Amino acid sequence: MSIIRELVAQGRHNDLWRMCCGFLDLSLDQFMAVQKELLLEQIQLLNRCELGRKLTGGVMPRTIEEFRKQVPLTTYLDYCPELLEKREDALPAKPYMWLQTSGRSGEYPHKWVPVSHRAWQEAGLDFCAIAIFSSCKERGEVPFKHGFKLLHAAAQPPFLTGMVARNGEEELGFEFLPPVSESEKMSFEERVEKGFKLALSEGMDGFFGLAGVLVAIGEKFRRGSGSTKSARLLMQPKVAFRLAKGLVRSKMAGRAMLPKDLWPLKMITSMGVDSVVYKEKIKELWGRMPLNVYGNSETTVVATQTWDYDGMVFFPNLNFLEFIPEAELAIWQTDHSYHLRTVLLDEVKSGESYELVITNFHGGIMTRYRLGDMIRITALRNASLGINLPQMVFERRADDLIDLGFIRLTERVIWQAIENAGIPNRGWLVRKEVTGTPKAHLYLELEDGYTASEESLAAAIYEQIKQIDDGLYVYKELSSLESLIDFRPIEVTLLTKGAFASYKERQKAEGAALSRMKPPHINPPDKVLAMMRSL
Amino acid sequence: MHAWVPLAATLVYVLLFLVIVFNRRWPKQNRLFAVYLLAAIIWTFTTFLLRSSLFLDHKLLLFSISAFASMWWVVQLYHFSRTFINLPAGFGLWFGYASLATFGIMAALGQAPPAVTFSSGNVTPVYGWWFVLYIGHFLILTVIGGFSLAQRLRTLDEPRERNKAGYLLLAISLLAAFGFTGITPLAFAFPLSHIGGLLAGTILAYAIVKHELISVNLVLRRGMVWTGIAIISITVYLTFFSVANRLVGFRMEFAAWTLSSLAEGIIAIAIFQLRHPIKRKIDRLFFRKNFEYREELSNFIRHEIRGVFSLQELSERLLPPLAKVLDCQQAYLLLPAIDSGDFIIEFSEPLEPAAPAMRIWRGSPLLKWLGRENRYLTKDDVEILPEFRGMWQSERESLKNLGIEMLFPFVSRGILIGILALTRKHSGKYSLEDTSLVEQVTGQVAISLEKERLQEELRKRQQELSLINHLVGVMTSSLNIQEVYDTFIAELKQIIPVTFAAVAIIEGDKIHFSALHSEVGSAWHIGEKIKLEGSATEWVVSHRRGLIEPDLSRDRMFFTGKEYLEHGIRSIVYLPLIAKDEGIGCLVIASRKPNAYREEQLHLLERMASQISTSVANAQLYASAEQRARIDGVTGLFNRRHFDESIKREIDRHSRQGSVLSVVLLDLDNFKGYNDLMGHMDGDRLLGRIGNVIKKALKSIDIPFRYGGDEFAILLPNTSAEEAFVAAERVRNKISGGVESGPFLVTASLGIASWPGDGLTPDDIINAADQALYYAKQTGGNRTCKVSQVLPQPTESLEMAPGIEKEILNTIYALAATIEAKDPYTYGHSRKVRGYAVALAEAISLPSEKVTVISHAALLHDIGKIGIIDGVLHKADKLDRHEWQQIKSHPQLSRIIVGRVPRLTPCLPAILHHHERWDGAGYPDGLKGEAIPLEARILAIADTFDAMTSNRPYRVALSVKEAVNELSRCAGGQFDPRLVEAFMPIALAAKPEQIKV
Repeated sequence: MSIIRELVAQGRHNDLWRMCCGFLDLSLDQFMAVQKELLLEQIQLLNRCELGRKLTGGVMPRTIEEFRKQVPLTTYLDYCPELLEKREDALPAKPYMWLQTSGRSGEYPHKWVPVSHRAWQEAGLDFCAIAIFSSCKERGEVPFKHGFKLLHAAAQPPFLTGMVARNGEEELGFEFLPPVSESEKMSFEERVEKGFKLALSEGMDGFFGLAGVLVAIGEKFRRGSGSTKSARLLMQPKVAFRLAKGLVRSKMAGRAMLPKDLWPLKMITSMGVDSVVYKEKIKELWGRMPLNVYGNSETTVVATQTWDYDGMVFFPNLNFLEFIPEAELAIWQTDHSYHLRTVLLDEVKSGESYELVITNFHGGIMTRYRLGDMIRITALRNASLGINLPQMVFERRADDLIDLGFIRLTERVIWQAIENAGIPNRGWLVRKEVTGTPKAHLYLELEDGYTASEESLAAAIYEQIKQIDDGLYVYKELSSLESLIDFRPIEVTLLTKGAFASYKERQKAEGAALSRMKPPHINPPDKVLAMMRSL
Repeated sequence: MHAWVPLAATLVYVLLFLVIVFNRRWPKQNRLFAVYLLAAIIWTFTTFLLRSSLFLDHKLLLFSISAFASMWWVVQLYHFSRTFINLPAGFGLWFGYASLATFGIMAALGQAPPAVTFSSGNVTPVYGWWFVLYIGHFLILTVIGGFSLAQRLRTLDEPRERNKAGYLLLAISLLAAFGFTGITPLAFAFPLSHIGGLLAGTILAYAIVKHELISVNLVLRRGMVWTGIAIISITVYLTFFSVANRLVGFRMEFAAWTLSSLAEGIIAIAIFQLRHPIKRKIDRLFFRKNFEYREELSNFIRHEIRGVFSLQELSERLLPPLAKVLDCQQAYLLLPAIDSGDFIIEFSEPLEPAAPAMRIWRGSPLLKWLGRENRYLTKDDVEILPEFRGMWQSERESLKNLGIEMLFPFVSRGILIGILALTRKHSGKYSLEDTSLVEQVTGQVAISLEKERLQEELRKRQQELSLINHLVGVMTSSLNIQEVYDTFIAELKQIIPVTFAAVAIIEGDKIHFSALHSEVGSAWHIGEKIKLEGSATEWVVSHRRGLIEPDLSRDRMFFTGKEYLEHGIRSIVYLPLIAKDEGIGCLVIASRKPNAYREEQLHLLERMASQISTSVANAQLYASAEQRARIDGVTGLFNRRHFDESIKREIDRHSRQGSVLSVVLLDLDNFKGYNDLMGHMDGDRLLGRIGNVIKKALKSIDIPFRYGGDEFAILLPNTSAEEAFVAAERVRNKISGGVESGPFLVTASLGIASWPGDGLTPDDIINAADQALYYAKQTGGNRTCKVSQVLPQPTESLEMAPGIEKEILNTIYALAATIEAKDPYTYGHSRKVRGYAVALAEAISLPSEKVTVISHAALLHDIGKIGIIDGVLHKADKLDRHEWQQIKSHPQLSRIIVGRVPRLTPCLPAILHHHERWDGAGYPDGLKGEAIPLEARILAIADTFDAMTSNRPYRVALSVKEAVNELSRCAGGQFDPRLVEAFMPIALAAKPEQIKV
């Protein structure tokens, strides 16, 4: 029996809190000590494996200083083909599992990331901490119990969220609606529907999954869709009682019935980047804020919000954290040969943005790996909760990816979709915008003599995007989401004729380099976009 | 009495309440305890009022309040005790408040109780259902609380927590015992429940306020001692008093009181002196057989420790009694390793034959914590405390595999100097008394331990230093590393395991092994070169630090790893050799055991490698100077002097190994002509090219030498004569086919001899190889001969000193060259004829002396043509009779010329009769059949065949096939038919090499 299960079973909540959430009590020095101790262990493991030596350029570092100075920063391409071929003999430790995640168009269709047994055990502590934070109201409180019923609306194994759910079931005794073993055979849509029905009859204590799905379910509920099915369900006394209770609550509140009237949720956990966007909506519909967790297959989990649902705090035990200051990044973007300088957590400054670089501990393989995510340090401590560790929020992607939660678009995918849709154009720009729901906002200048509405263009481009089947969806099974929620990720705004020509003239007049005659396709700066729109 | 006890209890509770309130810490358990005290205050105070003569008209109300408060008090005790041992309140709390509320409602309705009677301070209620509720409430909460507490005690391993729970259990037991007596008739006389409550409250208050609790076992034991002393004192006193009274019959007056008090004092003092024996008796009773070990341990720590002079003795005296006292299955003493500072197991009790592998890294959070906190750690602490998240997997696994339950630090002057690691007890769990004892012991022993460890460290460092100095001394004692290498390795084995060790020296883009030691064989040998690129030597030299490959079967970094593994090597350490800031090579040390070397040893080994680097560099300089002295400047090969040394050494080595060594002597066939024609400068350049060709044609273990002039020698270790023949033929073919020599085709003759078959001493072998070479020369050159082909020995007529022989041969070559120079059409004819003739002679197994004769005769058979005028010799038209006579005279002319060289007389019959015919129609003597000398018959076939296959002024050359047909046709007419038949395969197989002169 694992120690978490033992503590949960014995009701030793104090010990459980200390073990899983005790890192909040660490000082920054103690946090850094844990990081450095584990990195030294990891360096030894990397030096002893083929892929590790490839990544470290054969330098075999012995100290953290040597490691940071001599080992180059990496991207997933540096791990190909070893990880794509799942070459276990090249790794620092035998993988306990392989996690899958979406790839990058044209480079690799998906990513495989190994996780060692020890890393998964350590991650289990952090998952437990997340479960505690998402359900507690104060330090030391462990409200969740064996048999908590959770609606599971995320991907299945071998995706990270599926493995997390499986861990929650095994270690913390959660009961997922439907059980993970059953739901693995269902489509996403079937799973959510089945889970929803079970929640009506059995009750529901929490939610684990994508925030967008929770909003979609809540909105659907508010609109009263699916009433026929609900009518059949009313034959069950438990369902009828629950609905009656909900109806009373909603009437007393003087509004339409909302999910929170039926289920007073005790925990909501979301691993998507969209949690922040939907948090108010979720609170309105479900009566509780989602706890935002930042993690992915390469890191398992990096940071989490705590019970104040404010900034996220880093976990010390899974990845060595380095941060590329924004100013460094700007130099690198113009000169890729520039040797990027990183800072550590005890060197970050409040209010500044950084690109995150991680090195897995416990025999993981990702080494000085650039996640491509920009985070912002919001404070160096959380005074109200007495946490003396830096607080962060996810800010944006640092590269050319547009991450919309469900799907990730690259320049190549959008370009190909425009071409495939046969839209004659003189140029386009796209960037992620969040007004209500996150969208890829495309700014397009059509060729002379071609007219079309912005809505039809958006629909045509999205149709084409869906045809491009190469790692577009974060989880492939989420492609069926459209039938569940109103998912329209593309918005088009037409630019006035001659906008690109005028931009070019203006750049020429300013003596810009030839490479800057056109604006960047992806995520153009505000200034550029404003100029294009004003032309 | 009835009223005053509750009032006293109220005052005590109020005091406790104030202590708790003013206690600075306000965790949840303190808050709950404060509420518990509040309930107790209400309960006891209302009981006081109830039992007093106050508020006589409100006794029912006071009773209800008192009962309600007592129930609340029980609920709060339950809630507090659950929190105190970190358990959720659960069902009990829900039940407690529900029953309390029910009782409250019943009391409000006047049913709990319906009425009471009051007389002489006693309040008697009217019993009913309320009493069932009251008792049930008390019973259920006490049972649930007691049961969960007992359960918790079973799961708790942490001694402090167990001790806390022990106090709680004691308090609840007292409460239950007194509480139940409180509902018996006895309670009417004594307020027992209040006495129990008061005792329990005091114990709990102590448990809360005191952060570090005294062991509950100790309290009980000491309580027994003092109770025993009190009982004995009272018994003795009463006995004394009673006996005295009976004897004297005194009355209680001042004198009697004074005397009895005096007696009481004396008895008390006397009995007080007995406290130690009583304590010992009780301790012996408690500890039973462990008591002796406790005494031994105590004695050692207090008195004997100062007389200990080594770490070994200290641990041997400390660990056994300590392990026995604690009843632990295994106790380990971990001390910092001198080389790394990592903590490793140095001693164990019970003694284990091999110290188990456990290593706590010097930067481990475990060590930081133990050093800083200076108190014990449990295995649960290691799992739970967030500071230990940085612990390495190997450390966690070691703790788990060895079953370590507790770790106690030895801290001296704020520095962690050792750790006592304990596994499970044989039975039961560690108590607070156990941990207190160990902490007391570690605290007292720490200074001695530090002193002994420092001395031990000093001793070890001195040993290491002396060993390194010794190693360096060994290496510097000779300029030939290999000579002292075995001694060096034997010394090195005192520090680390060594199965294989080599010194690899960088030479340009190669590394060569200049010294080697192996117990398992080796893929390489001394002097062998392998590429530098991708090697460990390249890595350690470029990174300027050592490197360990812990297990080659799991991971190999360099291309050499596979070869090492195939020879049974599992772990290797590579150490850079850096002299004058320049990486000169690498010291490779390997073991057949995996993980034989540790990172912390690396530092010492690097130091040692650094020290010997200069010696290696000097040896290398010396070796290269010596090498230069051994190298021939023209060819770049080793010179004659080195050959003479090498052949002796190799014969020694091969005699030890019992294997075969072969020697090849090589002589260029016509180098003198080349030198004469092209000059000595070109001649030297040609020798250089030949040297290169020989090197390239050989395997890396074969060693070529320039033997002198145009002669070369090759040593082929572990090579039989047959294998040497293959190698020599490879060399010969490369020379004849691949050396740039302008208009000359340079060829070589080679002779092979093997040790021990062809001779036992170097001279024997060289002579034998020379004979074979001589034979090859004699038989036409450009061929390889083994000694076995030469035997039996050449005939006496041709047996002459090599110098003279050589001169004669040169004369013959010069004559043959003169002939051929006269006639371009017969260019190379003599040599070709010699080739065919020798081949035919060997094909019919003629003895070697005959073959030699034929070889010479073939070269000189046309020498008489020197006397024929060029017009006749080169005439394209048909010759007239006179001209034919001139031509036919050349065999006799040849005989006259050759006959002038006495040593060539064996060749004369062949030269004179090579134009005789089998059918007797030939010239000069018209001999027939076997009357014609055999050598002449052979020469006739060779001469005719070459003439047919060469262009002549009067016709073009026939093809081989046509020539063969013509020979067949003439067999039995012109030629000996048996010889023609033997010649057929030679003619069809190949032409002899053409020789340009």
